[in-house]
Amino acid sequence: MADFIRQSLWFPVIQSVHMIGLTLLVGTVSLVDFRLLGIGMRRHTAAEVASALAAWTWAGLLTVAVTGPLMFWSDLTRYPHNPAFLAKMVLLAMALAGHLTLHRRVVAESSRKDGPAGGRLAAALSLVLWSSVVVAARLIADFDVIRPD
Amino acid sequence: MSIPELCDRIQDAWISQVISTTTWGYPIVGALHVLAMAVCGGTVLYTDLSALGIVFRGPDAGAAARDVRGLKAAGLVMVLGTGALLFASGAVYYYGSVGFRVKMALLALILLNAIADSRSRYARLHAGISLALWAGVVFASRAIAFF
Repeated sequence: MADFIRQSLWFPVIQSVHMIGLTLLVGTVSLVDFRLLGIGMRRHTAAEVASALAAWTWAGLLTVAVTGPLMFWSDLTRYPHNPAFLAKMVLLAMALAGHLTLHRRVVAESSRKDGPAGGRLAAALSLVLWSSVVVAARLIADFDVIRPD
Repeated sequence: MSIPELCDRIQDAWISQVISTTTWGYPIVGALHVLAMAVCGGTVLYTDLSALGIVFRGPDAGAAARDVRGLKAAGLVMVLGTGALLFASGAVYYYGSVGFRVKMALLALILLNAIADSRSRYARLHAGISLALWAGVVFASRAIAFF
């Protein structure tokens, strides 16, 4: 099955689904961050934007959490040697940890009129972390130490 | 000058060579392209889901589009700019690629759909078509590496 995925057209199909999941996840999180920064969506608070998009954020996370390990498992010798992949995993852990703690608290407090003082900082940190995850993900293709045949 | 000749010239241009022959040229532009796509995709999702009445149900769905107009424009400029640079770096290959041609056709359809949307009463239909076309763009993009 692993060989089948790696060598067939299923691999780019899974990659494409992974990309769509990434867009759902990072696209919706970044919208909340832009709102916290005061860019766009002024009619709603960051909390309203986050709750309206929450289902799509989770759908994106679920999609990448299924397709990601599927790709990893299809080529076990490739990823552990790829520096971009290792960087991505560290950045992903940081982005997720920040999202579930600091980011969540800042968004919840944004329902108050002025929002929390640290809101912009938290939003900027979130944007930087998630962007780094995406950039590292794209770089996996450029940093293969052992190239798959 | 024929189109293949034009692609040859584009590919030989200084900026194209910087991207295709330097170590970091292609990885950096490629990463920015994907990043821009994520932001762009978020704004597309925001406007289309609002138009479909799935998020922010309310009488004024058009307001959602105005809410993220600036962000969407910025995302589109970045995605088109980096996309044009990636094309330039390998114009001959991309021109001949079926995946690339399909992608360009889908982008043209997205443009036509947006124009039709601005003159139509069927906002929900156009929003649904838009989401399907954008998903198709992602698949076609990945296909460029194979076809």
